[in-house]
Amino acid sequence: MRCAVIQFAGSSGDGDCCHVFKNILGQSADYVFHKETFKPADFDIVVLPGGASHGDYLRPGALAAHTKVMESVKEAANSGKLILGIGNGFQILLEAGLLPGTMLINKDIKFYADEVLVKVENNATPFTNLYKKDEVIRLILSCKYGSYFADAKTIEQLKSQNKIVLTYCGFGKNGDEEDPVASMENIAAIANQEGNILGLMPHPERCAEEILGNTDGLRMFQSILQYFEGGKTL
Amino acid sequence: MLVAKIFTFPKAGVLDPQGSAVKPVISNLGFTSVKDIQTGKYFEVKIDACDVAEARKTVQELCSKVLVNPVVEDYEFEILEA
Repeated sequence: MRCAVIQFAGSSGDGDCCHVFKNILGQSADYVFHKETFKPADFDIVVLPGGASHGDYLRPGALAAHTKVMESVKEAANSGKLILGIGNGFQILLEAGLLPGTMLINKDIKFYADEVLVKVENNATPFTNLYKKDEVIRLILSCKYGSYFADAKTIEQLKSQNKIVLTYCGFGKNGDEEDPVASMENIAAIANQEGNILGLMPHPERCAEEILGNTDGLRMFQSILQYFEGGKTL
Repeated sequence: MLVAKIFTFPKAGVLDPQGSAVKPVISNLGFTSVKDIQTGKYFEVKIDACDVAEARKTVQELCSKVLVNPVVEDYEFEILEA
């Protein structure tokens, strides 16, 4: 599996994502700078990492969505390559129009960084096939603009087509904190209609190793590998 | 040279947590006549255009492409001589 990790100005999750693909899964992973281009055939999966790209100026993801590399990302997306947007990467996918809706500032206007409990609503995707349906997993959320918003028609479509992949079901270590985000339908992750693009707010790459005290995120990366290699679990 | 003054603001029905946070502070300051407050953004764009109609078209394209998020924001603008 060949993985591209895009580096925007200010990306901070790029190193962690690359580390998971390379050092934990033993796959090939290359950085692609936002001023560069690539061909769809160059990679199997493209990761848009987290971190306030381009200073989060204008709106989170708005400036990154119009960089040169995004033309290549769109081309790869249209040719069916897997695209994974994490945190700010999700916001970039929304601003680029590759996923519907947008992110509003958290309900309490604060940056939220803590563990969250999310429920796997759809495990029939290339990104979640190693989770059980309705399984509750623990991930790390780290964002200020995490309140998913879309018009009623889009929400209805996401629900009827089963494109809501992960939903929040608890905040904080014990999952008993008040919801600081107020995301519509508790959305934590959505996929596009074709299913090859996933945007998620929590960070699976930050809980993918024993040393970090949580490996629930690792199965997302293993799911991707499973999707390409078929039938083989790590 | 023309200058476009562009205002963006949340669409009706979209939560504006910043506005909601500012409102009680203003009440505490004793401005009893202030009933509501909404936050937005302001852009000033210098445009080298032949006439206002051309500049207007540029502003509309600029807004729909990048300055405004049509999912949650509306915008208004005026064009003046720089």
